[in-house]
Amino acid sequence: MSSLALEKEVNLKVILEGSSTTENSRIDNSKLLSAFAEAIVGCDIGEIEDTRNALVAVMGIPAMIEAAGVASNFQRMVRIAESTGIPLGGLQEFSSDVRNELNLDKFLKQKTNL
Amino acid sequence: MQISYRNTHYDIPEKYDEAHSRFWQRLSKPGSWWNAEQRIDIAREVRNANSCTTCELVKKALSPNAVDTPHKSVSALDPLVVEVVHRITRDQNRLSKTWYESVLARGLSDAQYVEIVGTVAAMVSIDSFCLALALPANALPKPVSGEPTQYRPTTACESEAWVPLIPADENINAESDLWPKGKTGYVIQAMSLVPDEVRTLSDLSATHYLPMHAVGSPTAQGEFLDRQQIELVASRVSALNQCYY
Repeated sequence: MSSLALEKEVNLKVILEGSSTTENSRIDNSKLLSAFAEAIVGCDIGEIEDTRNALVAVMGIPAMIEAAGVASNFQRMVRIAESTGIPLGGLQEFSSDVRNELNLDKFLKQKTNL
Repeated sequence: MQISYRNTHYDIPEKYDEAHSRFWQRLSKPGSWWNAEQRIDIAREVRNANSCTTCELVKKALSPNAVDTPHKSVSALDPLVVEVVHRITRDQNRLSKTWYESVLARGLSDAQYVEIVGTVAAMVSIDSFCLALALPANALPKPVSGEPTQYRPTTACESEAWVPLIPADENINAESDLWPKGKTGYVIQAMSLVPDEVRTLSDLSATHYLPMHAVGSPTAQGEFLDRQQIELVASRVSALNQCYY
């Protein structure tokens, strides 16, 4: 959404493929940011240190701290959504193109089939 | 109890100390459905889940229902509460409506469940922040005595979500501060059965991400990351957690 509003096209594959993607995301420092987010979710202290240092070297400490804040925020948001079973509501229509491109509905189907 | 990140490796903005301290103070007091000792025990179990062998078995099992070993506990909480805390902490993407209904059938109320969700979610977030910045986990606060308020908003009702919630245009009276009337999303309403959980959600989100009123604005930016970078990190974390939302 924000990318469309800013008339900047981004490659959404980086969201699924992360730091291992060979695609050009068109987002500055996307591989460094993805790698840091992956290490945080993986709770791997060594990986966190390596990716944090790499991010600091290129983007600086304040940007790294902001990335840590966002990543830890979404560690929370996913648990709220998943444990309360909220529907997509208006988000379904609003994000249908993105959801299709990223095949996000497979996660919903997996959950419904449990 | 105040949380301080002043004497650390990095110059962490004080807004994090302040927001995390506000949650810690809330954690130390009786909530709506759990007393302070129980709330702090829930927080303790969030941390314990990371080394729970039953959680490991559940994660590896083809179906989470295939494991009936009790979760390893470090608290005085009922085993059902421990199971709920551990599942939300470690295996959240495989929670199902059937499991939620079984939790209620086994004796937990919907509002008790929602308060657990809010406590687990905030703890995971704050501990993840510390982990990311190589900070030690904050010591848990001392409990303040007292009884839960047992406050349940009168407008909360059954919905398409598993849990009852306040409809978008019915956050009236004591709940009028939760969101601008009629203008919200399910992820904000999700915990409205326990309104203080929505207040904590808004507080922590404004510090870690963006203020709720700015989320819908495509031009809202971070201080040091642009919006695409912020949403990339957010989306990558959600994708790794296999979150449908």
